[in-house]
Amino acid sequence: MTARTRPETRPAPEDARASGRAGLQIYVVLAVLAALLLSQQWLVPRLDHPAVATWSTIFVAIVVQSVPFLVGGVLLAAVIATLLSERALRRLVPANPTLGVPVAGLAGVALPGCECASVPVASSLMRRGVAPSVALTFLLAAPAVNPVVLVSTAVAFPGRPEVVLARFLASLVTAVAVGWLWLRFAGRVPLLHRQRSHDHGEGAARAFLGSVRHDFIHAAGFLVLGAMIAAAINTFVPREIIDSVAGNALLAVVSMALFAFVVALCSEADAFVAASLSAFSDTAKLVFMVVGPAMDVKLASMESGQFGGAFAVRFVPLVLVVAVLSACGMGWWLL
Amino acid sequence: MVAAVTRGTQTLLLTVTGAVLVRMAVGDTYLRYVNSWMRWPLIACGVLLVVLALVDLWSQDDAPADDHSEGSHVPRAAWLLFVPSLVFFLIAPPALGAHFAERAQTAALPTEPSSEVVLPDLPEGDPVPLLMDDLVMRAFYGGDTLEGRRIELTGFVSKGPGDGWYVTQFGMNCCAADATVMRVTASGVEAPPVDQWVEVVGTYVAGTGADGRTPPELAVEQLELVEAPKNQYR
Repeated sequence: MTARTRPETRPAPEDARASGRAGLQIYVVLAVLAALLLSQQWLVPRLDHPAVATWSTIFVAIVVQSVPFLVGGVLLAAVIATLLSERALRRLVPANPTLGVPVAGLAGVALPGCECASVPVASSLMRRGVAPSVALTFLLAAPAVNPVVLVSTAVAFPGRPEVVLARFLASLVTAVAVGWLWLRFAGRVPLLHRQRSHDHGEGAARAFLGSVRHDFIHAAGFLVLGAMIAAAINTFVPREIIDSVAGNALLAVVSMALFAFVVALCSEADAFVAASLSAFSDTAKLVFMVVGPAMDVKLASMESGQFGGAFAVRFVPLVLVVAVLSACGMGWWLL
Repeated sequence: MVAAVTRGTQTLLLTVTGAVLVRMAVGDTYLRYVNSWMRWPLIACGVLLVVLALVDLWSQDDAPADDHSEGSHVPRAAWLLFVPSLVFFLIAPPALGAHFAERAQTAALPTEPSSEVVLPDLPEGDPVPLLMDDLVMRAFYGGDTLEGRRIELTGFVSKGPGDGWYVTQFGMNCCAADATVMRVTASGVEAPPVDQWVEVVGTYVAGTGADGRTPPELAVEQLELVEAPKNQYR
């Protein structure tokens, strides 16, 4: 195991005053919530501005759309964590990580889910002893190459199967290349692992529910943070800025990658948005569709929460660069 | 410094979030944000979150020392999970409207050349009700199928250049974040207030909307202010 585990920071349990305050917290929170709801009549007119309304609609929309997928992801993660036996896992994942990386990339075809689902799943795989590079490849491949995404791409680009093929190959190459690079160069990067003492006393059902609850609360806060940023970009950055760079080939590619990073769309929807960006070249559109599912502001936020800041500052730029290069290569070859 | 989220507050967080999701999906509010097929996933998901909270209450009664056990320490970012519920109650975000229509992407047009496309004639009826995407697409292919017919169209009002205005509707794939805008220029009548839903009857102005850059134009004969539909997206 190359990853280091960090001991959990917890408030000193013997400090009676601190734990008394902790017990109070829920009542304080309840009081604040009640006060806010009571002041609703007074607050609502003061928040009534079209830009605020647009921001809040997009923000709530991203959260509402993502939460069911996140819950699906944490359920699958809990299955891996508590129900899948060591032997079954051994059989599914090759012991040799060099071989495991491409297998994980292809395995991504089988999990039709949003990118938010794959973060807890990857974390759960690592906790069960799967090599980080293999789990990360799965994390990158699952939201990008699954059938739902490919079908929606085909619908968004009718009569152009080469776009679907280019997207599939570029995403798969990105996932596998990042996995191998991580294996070769970043084996010692510390990964934050939440340590979990498996209470063997409690039943499987209790352990399962505990895992779901914990993973959900753990990831959801970061999902909300990412959604707030993405909604702000959507609302407050004028489209003209994005459109004005479309003419220049290099600028177009860079700005499309950046755009995919900040708007944080669902991988099932981004093909339609890409198709509507008619000012851009096909390669720039491909960059948008390959970067988006692999890395965006919401994922970066969730990953730094799940695996730690030291991990995120290396992983996020690495994925961005590899995804852009891979998409440009495929675009040049196929489109 | 923000306090760590205690186990009790986590339970509250799950309950509030779950309740909001169920509340949203049981009414029609969720249609402002996501597709209609999301109803059951949202209800299932909300119920699950509430169940998780209840199970935890029950197991805490079992073992009062549980607050120090594994799993109770989560990142402080978890506090943010209160934000969507609060925004939902305090701002009550409406469906996207004219403000976003000015900055949204225009909906993608088909890429097949017109020679390969055979559009069916418009159905019987006068005026003939038409969906926004249907009208935009027919105009894009030259608008032959629209000529000589009175068309009835529904959408909300957004501001156009100068005194002009558009009958507008959003198309949505996954959620409101990826909404693309469809517009039809309305000519011949004064603009109603923005965001007002209208039903217009008019005739297609030949040649407009064929380049795919500018919206098609409807010479409006009749304008009626209507209630917003339950699902405001296409």
